[in-house]
Amino acid sequence: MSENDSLRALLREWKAPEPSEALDERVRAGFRTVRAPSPWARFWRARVSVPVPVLAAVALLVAVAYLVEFRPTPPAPRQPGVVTRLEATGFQPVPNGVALVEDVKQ
Amino acid sequence: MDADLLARAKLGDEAAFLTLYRRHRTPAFRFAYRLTASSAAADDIVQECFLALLSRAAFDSRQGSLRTYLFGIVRHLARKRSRLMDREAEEVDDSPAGLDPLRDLIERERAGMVESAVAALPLLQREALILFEYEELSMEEIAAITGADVGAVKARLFRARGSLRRRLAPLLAPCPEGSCG
Repeated sequence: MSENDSLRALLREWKAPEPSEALDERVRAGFRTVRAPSPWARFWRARVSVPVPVLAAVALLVAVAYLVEFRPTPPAPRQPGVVTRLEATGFQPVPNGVALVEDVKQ
Repeated sequence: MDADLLARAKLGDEAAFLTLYRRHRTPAFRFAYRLTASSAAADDIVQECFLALLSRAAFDSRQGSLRTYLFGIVRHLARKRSRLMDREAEEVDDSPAGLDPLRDLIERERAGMVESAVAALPLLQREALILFEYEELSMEEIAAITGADVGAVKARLFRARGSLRRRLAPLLAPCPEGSCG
């Protein structure tokens, strides 16, 4: 065995430790800090996690609110007109101020 | 392959970054650890190294492998840290001060002695030795990483081996017949 070989064999007895998992975490966190996306990028990539029952309840509330607000209303019943006359004979007051003018055929 | 992963990582692809990291973290960590003789320092250096790769470094695959490039960053960061800690030794400082191989042989394991001997080498010799003996890089690759020419790398390696042989002489001496088990 040459001088270099015996020295090399002796040097190999000094082993370096393996990098720790803590280092892996530090490097990963460092990457995220350095490469943090802009606020706009974060906004467009944002995700919201909602439990299905909560989502169903909210959807139901929205649907009910919509139906209450925009449900189709039947046309108001037309109040029957009251026929009155201009001359005093047989005059009747118009109820609730509702006036219905009809052509009077001469 | 590495260049593609790096390009994707720079665009924010975390999976690409992690693939690259897992592929190169162990050699980078080993090199940093052996340069600094400290796990905590090696952790810091490896983290900074990979983040520098994303933000500042301009890797060109035509000029060498990413592994070699990473070793260059690790070396730079280790030297910076070494300067900060005022631990950098001049290359001419090759004295075995404070190292008593016989006493160490009794008190510590052989691996501890090797570590101490390597750590006592001047930085330029130490990095050349680690890259050649432990990371098995070629002289040309080490020259590229250290910014020296191949002749200088060979000279550093020669001096490093000479120093180690002197420091580790008790461990390298051939066993008297029948005494090595």
